Amino acid sequence: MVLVLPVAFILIRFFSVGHSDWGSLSSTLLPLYIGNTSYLLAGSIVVTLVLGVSTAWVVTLYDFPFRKQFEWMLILPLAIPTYISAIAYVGLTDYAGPIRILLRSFDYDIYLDMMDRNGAIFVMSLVLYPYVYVASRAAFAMQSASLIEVSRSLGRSMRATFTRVVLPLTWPAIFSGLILVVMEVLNDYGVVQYYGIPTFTTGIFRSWLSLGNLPQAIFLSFLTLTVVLVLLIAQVLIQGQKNYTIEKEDRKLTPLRSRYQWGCFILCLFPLFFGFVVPVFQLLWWAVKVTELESWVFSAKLVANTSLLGAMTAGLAVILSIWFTYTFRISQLPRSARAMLRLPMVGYAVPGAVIAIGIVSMIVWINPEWIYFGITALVFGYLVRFFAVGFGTIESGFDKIPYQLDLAAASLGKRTFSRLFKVHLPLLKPVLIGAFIMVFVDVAKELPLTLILRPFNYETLATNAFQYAKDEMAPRSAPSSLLIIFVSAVPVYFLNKLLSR
Amino acid sequence: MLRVENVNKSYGKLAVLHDISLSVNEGEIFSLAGESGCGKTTLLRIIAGLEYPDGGSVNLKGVDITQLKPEKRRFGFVFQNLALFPHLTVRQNIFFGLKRKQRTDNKLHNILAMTGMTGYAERYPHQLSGGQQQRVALARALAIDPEILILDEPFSSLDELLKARLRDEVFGLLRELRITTILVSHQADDCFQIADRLAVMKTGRIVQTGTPSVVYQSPVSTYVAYLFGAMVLLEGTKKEGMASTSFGSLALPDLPDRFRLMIRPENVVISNVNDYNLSGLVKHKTFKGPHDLLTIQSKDGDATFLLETERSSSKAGDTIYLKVPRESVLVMA
Repeated sequence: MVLVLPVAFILIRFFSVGHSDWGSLSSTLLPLYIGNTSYLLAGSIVVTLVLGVSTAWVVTLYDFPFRKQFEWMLILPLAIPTYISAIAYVGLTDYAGPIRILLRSFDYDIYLDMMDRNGAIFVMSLVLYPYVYVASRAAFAMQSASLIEVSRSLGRSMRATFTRVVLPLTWPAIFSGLILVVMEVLNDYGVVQYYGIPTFTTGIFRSWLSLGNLPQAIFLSFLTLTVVLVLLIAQVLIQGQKNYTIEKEDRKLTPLRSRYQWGCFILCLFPLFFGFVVPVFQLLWWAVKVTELESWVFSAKLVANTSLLGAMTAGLAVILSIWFTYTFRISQLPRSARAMLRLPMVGYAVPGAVIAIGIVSMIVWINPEWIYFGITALVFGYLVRFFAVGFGTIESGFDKIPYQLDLAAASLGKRTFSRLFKVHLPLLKPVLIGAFIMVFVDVAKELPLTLILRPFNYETLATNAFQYAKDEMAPRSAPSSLLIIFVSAVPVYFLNKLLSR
Repeated sequence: MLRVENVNKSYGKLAVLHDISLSVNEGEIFSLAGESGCGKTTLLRIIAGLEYPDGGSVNLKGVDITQLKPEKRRFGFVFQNLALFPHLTVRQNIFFGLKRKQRTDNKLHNILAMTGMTGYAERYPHQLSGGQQQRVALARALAIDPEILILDEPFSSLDELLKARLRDEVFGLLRELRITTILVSHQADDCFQIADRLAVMKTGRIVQTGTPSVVYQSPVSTYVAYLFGAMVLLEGTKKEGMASTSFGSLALPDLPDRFRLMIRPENVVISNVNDYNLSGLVKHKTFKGPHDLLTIQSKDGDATFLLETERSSSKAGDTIYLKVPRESVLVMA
């Protein structure tokens, strides 16, 4: 319940604090925030849908060179936080970047500017499309092959079959991937701040960190929260609508040889190349160029800070999740009660900046002095935001253990707690490790929440990378960025294993 | 009407179809039979265009359709799992393969009446029983006025009682409409009741083609024989021009030196009195509902065979005498 407090606080404060401070906001900035945020959302929805669904479709249905490799490599861009990709692309295209250096060697030059709304959509979509890809691929792979075949035998072409049969049936799954994209875009602070696009998130930052206007920050957080809630409700409605499960004996789709093999190849190469290869290449290029020993030594301190935060949050998340799920299990609560206990899951949908403002307003309400207290608030913030990641993984792990096993252990004289330690936890070891890593990585990547809640001068890999870029010293951010990407690639591997099962 | 010529197909190194040739006549109901994994479904899928053969050709009314896409063939395919579109109503399922102009109330009404589904047009598949879903799948395939109707194990998901009823109905309907039909089934009674002709497949080859009664009465091998019913199988040698088995001798023409005799159990007449050529001891008697199953052992104890009989008065330990009409014995080298 404590985990819902920051969100609840936004709501409470919104209705209790005087509304007089909004004047300046609503007339000038608010339309700008709304306009930009909607534009970014619409753009990234369209681009991630096209990239994610099309790649998932060809990878599931057609056989072409390197299909198997693409199957998992297409998830890789997910390892790159949006702001890092944004920094890398600016570095790639600016005056000192490799593209223009190369062009100048041919006595030619162009002016490339990534730093506008379309650039932001491009950069964000190319690292976020894997959410749609993963969801669609799982849904397509579950499709019964005979539905597609029967449609074709009834005279419908492949394209008509896709729009009339496959899409309607897989839409709920695709939508759930798309919602993650929307939430990431809403959460983003790094890209929009760096590219100078005023959105809700930058507005929240500006209100609190620059102007010290907490009510205004709360107001903006409240608006963002409304959008999130609408999305969550939409998801529940769409998923609840119709749920088609296919029968076990159905033949699954098997890849076919495609006549357009190289077309499929290029289609899959495009997002992988621009979403992963290009930014990583740019960062490596920087890292090689600026190998001052000093910046790597400094990284060690950053790694220590990041690891500490990650490990604390992940550890707490895992312990709490075990506690929660095991309590559910032994108490055999009815479904409605379980649904209530799922409330903390909402945290994952709420942008980091909003959670941070919720926590800040909580602290200010309790005792304003505490705001300068160490990393407790930060870890709490992470926990609110990422608890769902660990909990979801661990809960599904628990659900796979048949309840008869509990009964068997009980009949053999094991008591409640020794059952947990002797039976469940050993069985769940890989799941627990997986959950720990996923939370850890999310913490390592998180930027906006860290920026607001960190103690003064406390730097993590993420803040460091972002700070350098903001201070026009982007090349120096490369070591931190590369480390984050490296660490993030680990759960991508896990995710793929989860999928291929 | 449909000619399949020298079709080959392999998956990687595994050859699933060897040199398959067959022809189906207009208005005929043709059945493919064989144990699972014999390649019958693959052949069906090649005919429907869902897969392409490595070699050979498929011709429809003299036109080569081997490489034609399935959506251009107008073959109604009823899948084993039915594959009804779960997000569409019965009406939408039936109209799925029709052009906008063809989607008339009249058409819908006729198809529903034909398949006994009147009044269910607005239901979703999950609101229907198994048998009703079966009818909708058939209705959807019939709606496009198919050149050929293809049924892949159409009744396998139904329970026995429903299956028998629905089979009779479908059988009647297909006959009435005179739709050229290809049916895959591993169940003998499907093949017999519905098919005009059938082809038996084994490990990717067609081993026998003919009318159901020919295939039943004169199977070319024990595989074909067992596929369509119980069989008494006796090992024998030629002695003094007679067929000699552990259970006695029979006078049969044209015998090789070593052979096996196959007899359908319904052709065997049982007696307790010694006036027949074959005899043995009843070792077990098992109650099987409508009939009994006797395990019969030879006098020297070397050989046994199983015999399904009508309710039998013999009990374990009895000596039993069997009469086998000469024309119902098949000799296999």
